[in-house]
Amino acid sequence: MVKEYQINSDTQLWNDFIKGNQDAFQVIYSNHVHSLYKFGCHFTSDEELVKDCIHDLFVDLAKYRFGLGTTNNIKLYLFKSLKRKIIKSLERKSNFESFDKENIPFIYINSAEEELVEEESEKSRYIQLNSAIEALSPRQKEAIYLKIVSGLSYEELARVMHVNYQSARNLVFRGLEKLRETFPRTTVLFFLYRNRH
Amino acid sequence: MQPKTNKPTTDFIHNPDFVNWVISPSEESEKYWQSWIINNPLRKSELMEGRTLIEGLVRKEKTLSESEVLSLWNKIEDTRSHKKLRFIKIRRWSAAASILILLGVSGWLVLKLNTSKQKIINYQTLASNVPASNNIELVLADHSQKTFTNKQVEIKYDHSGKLETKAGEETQSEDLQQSTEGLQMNQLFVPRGKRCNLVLADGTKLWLNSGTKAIYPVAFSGKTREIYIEGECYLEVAHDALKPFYVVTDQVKVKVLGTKFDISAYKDDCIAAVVLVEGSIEANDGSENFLLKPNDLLFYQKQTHKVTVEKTNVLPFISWKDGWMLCEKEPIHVLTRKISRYYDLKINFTDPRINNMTLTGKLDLKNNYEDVFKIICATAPLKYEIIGDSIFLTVKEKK
Repeated sequence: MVKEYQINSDTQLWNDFIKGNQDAFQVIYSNHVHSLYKFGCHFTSDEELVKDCIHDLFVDLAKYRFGLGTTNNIKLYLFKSLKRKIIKSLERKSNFESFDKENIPFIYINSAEEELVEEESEKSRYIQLNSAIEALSPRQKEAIYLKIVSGLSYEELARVMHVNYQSARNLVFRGLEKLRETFPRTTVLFFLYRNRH
Repeated sequence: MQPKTNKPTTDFIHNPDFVNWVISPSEESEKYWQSWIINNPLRKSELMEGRTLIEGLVRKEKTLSESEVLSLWNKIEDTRSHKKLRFIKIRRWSAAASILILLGVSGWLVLKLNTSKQKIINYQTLASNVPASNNIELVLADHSQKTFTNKQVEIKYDHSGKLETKAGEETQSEDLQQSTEGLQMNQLFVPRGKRCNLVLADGTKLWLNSGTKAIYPVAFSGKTREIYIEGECYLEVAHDALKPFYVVTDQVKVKVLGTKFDISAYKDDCIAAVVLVEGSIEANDGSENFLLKPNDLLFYQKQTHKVTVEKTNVLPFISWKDGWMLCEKEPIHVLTRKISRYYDLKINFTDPRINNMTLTGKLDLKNNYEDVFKIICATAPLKYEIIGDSIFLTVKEKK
């Protein structure tokens, strides 16, 4: 006999969850599990590790909820926590001397991307952009991913990546500039040409 | 703050509105940029170049299938309940230890009990000692335990101290040794998926719903009758004006003279509720008394400790005892929670739209759960799928 459960804001949802509301907990899980998994898979090709970390993240959330602070941005909170968990377990898995915490590779292009690009012009465009992306630093890749694909604000991005606001902007800005420079104009012409028909 | 550069393309790829349009175009942004192109024909190629770049950044990502989402959730829930189990085990062990210690000082204890007029029973501690099990478990005062594997069991005490149990075709009866002093507490645990009828020594009838614990004395020897409930229970209290009947839950204490009512105080619900069918009761939340009249519904919000009393149709609250579930604009997630307790099922959905759906109607709980879900899915725009021991609900998309 639970009265109707309504969600008005992240703050309320989070507070309900902290107070032990199981519905709120499940809503948080279902709202964020997909984007968390996608995000996590950019740090490792080990999908099971990502799932395990999401598992631990939610078990810990439930376990320690009484000690958790308030948040008005659940997504940010979860992204930060998941990244921390993944880095920790990657560190545990690796032999420690070869693990550089500050320089975790960011896998921009996943193995999931094995779709066949039919058209030759498309194919070369993809290959060229891929190599341009690969040439970015891991942090530039992560910043561009968080800004463009995950749609985080610069403030949020800065907090996930533990940098200040200006550094966050610079990472995205320089990354995009670098891509634009490597991105050959000819492919754009192909693209336009196709569009006209 | 926006970094500026002379290269025109730069303006596009660094422009959040432009990026938003490329990533997730809306009607509005589509209109805006189309007209922008018409007004700035010379910069069209630059715009298209920027667009290609941004589009190229969105890649096919690894995704979880719905069944992976579900099994991950179940794993999270399993881990959580195992942690709880471990906790209970430790608690049981410490209870055993404390009994040993108490035996050592029993002389003092007896003295103490006799001198203190009011015996305060710590029900929460007792309740946490009730074994977690998939069967109906009855723990007698001498700590012997009876286990019933049936879905529905009847347990009856009478004033002479006789205990009668009826599980399926099998009826058992035994005389409980009654000491003249002190309360002998029995504990009854009804797991998810099972129900139990209980008749107490004074003739009070209880219908215990799935996932409920009850702690009560074999005989009501004191000036009051007092029992403890965690979970949901419908009661028809035998009238005895000289011995008021109290139902204690973790949140609310209810005082009755003789009446029919439903009390729901599940640990994992955020609300405790009392619904009065007949007679009158007095509910106390620890600070204030609330007098309830028939058809009154008392809600206790665990989070805010707020109590509200309102008029209600009592039938949806008590229909479960007769094997029905009456729903009046019942939110799906509340309904599924009740069904999951009743049938001991895991019911999962990840689509947030389902949270906003409500259901009105009557479900026959004597049916098996698949029939129940067939009815739900015929009424609401939902589909169900059985994966392992879980039911998975998704929204039927309109084609």
